[in-house]
Amino acid sequence: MEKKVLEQDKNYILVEYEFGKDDIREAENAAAVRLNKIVEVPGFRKGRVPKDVLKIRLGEAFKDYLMENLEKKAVEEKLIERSLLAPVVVKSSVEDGKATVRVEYHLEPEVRIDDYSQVELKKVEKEGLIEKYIDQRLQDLREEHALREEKEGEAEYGDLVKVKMTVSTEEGKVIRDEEYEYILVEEDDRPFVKDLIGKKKGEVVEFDREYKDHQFHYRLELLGVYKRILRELDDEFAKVVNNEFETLEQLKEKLKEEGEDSYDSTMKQVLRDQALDWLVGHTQVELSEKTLSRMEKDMMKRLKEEGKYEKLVEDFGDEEKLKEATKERFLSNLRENYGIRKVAELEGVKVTEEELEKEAEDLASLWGISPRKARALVKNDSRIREDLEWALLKNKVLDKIVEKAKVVEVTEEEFKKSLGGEGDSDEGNKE
Amino acid sequence: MNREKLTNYDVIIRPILTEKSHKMMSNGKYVFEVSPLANKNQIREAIEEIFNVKVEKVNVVNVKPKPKRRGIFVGKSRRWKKAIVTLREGYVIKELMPEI
Repeated sequence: MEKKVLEQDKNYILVEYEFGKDDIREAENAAAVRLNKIVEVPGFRKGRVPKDVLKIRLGEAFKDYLMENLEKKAVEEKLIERSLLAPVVVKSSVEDGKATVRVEYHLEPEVRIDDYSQVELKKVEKEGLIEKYIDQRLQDLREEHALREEKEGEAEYGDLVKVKMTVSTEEGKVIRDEEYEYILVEEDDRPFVKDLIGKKKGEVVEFDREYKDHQFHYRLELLGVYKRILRELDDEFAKVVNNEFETLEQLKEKLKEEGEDSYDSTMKQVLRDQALDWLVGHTQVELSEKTLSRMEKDMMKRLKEEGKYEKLVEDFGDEEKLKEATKERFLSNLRENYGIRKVAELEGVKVTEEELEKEAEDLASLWGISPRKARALVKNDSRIREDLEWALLKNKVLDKIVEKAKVVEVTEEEFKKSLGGEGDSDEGNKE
Repeated sequence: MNREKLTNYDVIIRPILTEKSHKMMSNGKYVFEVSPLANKNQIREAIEEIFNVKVEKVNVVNVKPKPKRRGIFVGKSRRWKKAIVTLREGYVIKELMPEI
């Protein structure tokens, strides 16, 4: 077999493999062996049909098997391992004792990453935020523990209503007859909430609703209307919330702790998100136009097969816009993946077996299985293992960038402004 | 069918391709089903003209019908004529020994 590189552009290579008579004979023999297992030719016992007879009887089908064998021989394992997209045989022919196979490889791209040792990341000042959190939580608790006082008048927004809900089918069969309590709020857009406004105790709201091609009749009888009175913020209120608190200060202290924990975990994620955004914007992948065009074609084909194409074209306006968005997404994913890999390589970041096991244990309750089973699952299911490993590696890499970064504290307004501004950046779209 | 009016393609009906006949090909012998009305000379001429080869000799066999039975029905297979054609050295019938 002779190999010739016909074209090379960044990560794209077009290679031509030429096979001589010996290679062809070998591939023919292999094709005959395979075909003998599946075909029966009159005049021959099964499995005893000579290659020449198979050629006569099967013609093009034999040639297909022959070419398949040659193509398998041509496509190089070591290049497949380094491939970004699956290799494609673009041409294969056999004539005059010579066979040619042309293969397109789209290899993993060259990755360059900007200096990440002095990235500037932003986080929101803690102080103001914690106070805001405490105020918000106290307000929520006041709403939650509000006193109720029955009123004779009409129901208004902010009131609590007690209703008896009766649901019956078209045939008149009652399928639900229960009591519920609702707080009437303006943001609640369910029609019956609006209908309940202005009604008094004893009045009825009725409506029909269709569900899975069946019509249901709803009847809400207003059993009571209650005015909600928010409690004063004092020591008494703290006791109502939880009897372990004696004073309001104790409740506030507890809420402060809660707020600080929430702040720490939120800021950790915020910094990771910013680090990821930075990474995507500052990682360059050297991709050939041919790879992008192949990816675009593959994606369109897949969308058509999945029946999503028409809907997406409609959503995006036209096919070109959909293609552009697909390309952007592909590039962004690529920059993220290769950026993380590159930093991991530069910093020597690895995921250890212990870390994987610990993560499995942490996820066990989420998966609804025992920690032992979760560990076994991660050990034996390669797909779950790879996913978990990748998620851990990604977080470790992002933490590394955060660790090296210069973290600046800003006010909440400044932070929101900076988030809005980042969306316009087109750095990183250099490829 | 009149014996005089047989064309080459009337004479040669089909090649017989079986394990046995395939083995014989390596010795330059090819097996055909031929017209029961054809004689050795006509077979020789037909093979030479159709496949562009030289024939050394022609052997013919009149295959007798064999009794056949399918359930309660008893019958016979058809009678046919087989020709074993030996080619002169150096000649092959490419159509039956193809090379891709």
